[in-house]
Amino acid sequence: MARTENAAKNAAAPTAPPKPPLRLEWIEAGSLTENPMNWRRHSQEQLQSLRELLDDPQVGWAGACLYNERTCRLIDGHARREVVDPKTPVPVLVGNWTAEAEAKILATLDPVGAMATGDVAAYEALIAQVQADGLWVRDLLHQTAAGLVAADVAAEEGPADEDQASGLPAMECQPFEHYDYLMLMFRHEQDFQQACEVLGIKKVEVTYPGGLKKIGLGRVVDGAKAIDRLMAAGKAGGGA
Amino acid sequence: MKIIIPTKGRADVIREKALRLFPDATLCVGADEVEAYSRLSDRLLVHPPEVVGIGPLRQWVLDHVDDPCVVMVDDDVTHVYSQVGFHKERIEDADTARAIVERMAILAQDAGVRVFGFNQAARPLTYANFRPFSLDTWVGGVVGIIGRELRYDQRLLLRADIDFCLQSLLHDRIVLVDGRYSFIHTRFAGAGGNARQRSSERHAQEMAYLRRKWGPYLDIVQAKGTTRLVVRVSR
Repeated sequence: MARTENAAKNAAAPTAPPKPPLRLEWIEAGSLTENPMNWRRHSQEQLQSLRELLDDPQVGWAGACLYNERTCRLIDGHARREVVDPKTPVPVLVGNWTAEAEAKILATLDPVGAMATGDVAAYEALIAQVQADGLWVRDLLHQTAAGLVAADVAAEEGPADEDQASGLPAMECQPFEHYDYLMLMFRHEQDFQQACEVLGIKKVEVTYPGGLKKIGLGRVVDGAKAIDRLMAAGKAGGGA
Repeated sequence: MKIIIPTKGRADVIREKALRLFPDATLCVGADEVEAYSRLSDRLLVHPPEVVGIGPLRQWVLDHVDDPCVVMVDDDVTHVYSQVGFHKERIEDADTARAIVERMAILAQDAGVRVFGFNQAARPLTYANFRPFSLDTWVGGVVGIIGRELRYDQRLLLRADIDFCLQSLLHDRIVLVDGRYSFIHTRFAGAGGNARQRSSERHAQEMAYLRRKWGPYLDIVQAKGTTRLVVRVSR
C-alpha cells in the first residue's frame, strides 16, 4: 500500500523535461576541453583553409563541433577550436555518452566519412560553380580534384605490382610507328631549286619587330608526303 | 605567332630580363598589377586574379589569345646560347632571339607538331651536330604551342609543362625540341613569379600526381638537392 502511495506521489510531482540526446549550443571555443585521445593532426594548410572559410562572409560556420557533456571533452572540432579566438562562441552539438562510447565515436567518425569515394566529374562540376577567392581554399579544391583523379588513375592501374605501362598503352609506339628525320644538304642552286619544287617546299612569311616582313622557306616536309611527291615526280619523269 | 611573357611581381626587373630579349612580347599580368606593368609596355594581357599557378595560367592564355601559335616565355629568361660549334655563343640580341623562336615555330608548323621548344641544357659537348632536333623529350622556359587541341592540366600549379609535353607525346607522338639553342634563366631572388604557389608539400603532391598519371614514362630523379624530371618515352 505504501509503495502504491509513493508511486502515485511520484507520478504527480513535476519533473524536469529530459534533455534531448543531442542539442545545438553556442559555446565559447576556449571553454571546450580538447580530447586527449584525439588522433587527428592538423596541418597548417588545413588550418589556413578553415580560417579562410570561417572568415568567408558567404560561408562562416557551416558545421558544428561535437562535445560530450558527460566527460566534458571535445570529440570533433579540434581544428575549428584552434583557429578562432578562445572567446568566440562556436556552434557545438552537445551529447551524452560514456567514455567507451566516446572512444568509439572518436575512432570511427572521420574514418566512416573517409570511406565515401569521390566522383571526379561530379566534383569538377561542383567546383566549377564555386568562386574561391582565397588561395588556401582554391588550393584545397585543386588538391581534392587532383586526389580524385589520382585515385581514379590508381584504380585503373590495377594492382600495384602490375606493370605500370599497361595504364597508358597508347604511349608506346606501335610496331609500324617510327619518328625520325633526314637532312639534305645541297651544294648547287639548280639541285636545291629542283628539290624545293619536287618536294613542294613553300615560301613562308617571317615577321620581324617593327612589322618588317621577310620571305623565307618552310623547310620541313612530312615524310609520307615527300615520298608521294618523289614517286609522282619519278613517274612523271619516267613517262616524259 | 604571339610571344607571351606571363609575369607576376617583377615589374621592377623584367625590363632587364625577358622583356629585354623579347621587347615586342605581350606581358600577361594579374589585374592587380596592371598599373605597375603598364609603365613598361602597352601590350598587356590581363588575367583575373583567381588565375594562379602554371597550369591554370597557361591554359587561360591559350583560351584568350586568338593567334594559333603562342609562345610562352618565362619572365626570368635573359639570353640564348647557341650550341652549334665547340664553344657556345651567347646571344642577347632581341631580333636574333625572335628569329630563333619564329623559325622554330615555322618548322613545327611544317612538321605538323603542336608543341615545340628548345634545349633545356646549355652544354655544347652534349649537343650532337648530326641530330639537331629531338622528338621525345619535354620543354619548359620557352614553350611553343600551335592550336588548342591540347589543354593544360589545371590541377598542376608548378609542374604543368612536363605534363603538357607528355600529353603531346601521347596524342601527337612527338614534341619538337631544337637542340641548337638554349634559353637561359637568370633566377630572381625572393618573391614574385610563381613563388607563392611553391611549398615542399605542394611540390611533393604534384610529383606524386605526375608519377601516378604517367607511370614509367616519367622519371623523377633526385640529384644534388634538385629534382630533375626525365621523360622516358621512346620514339
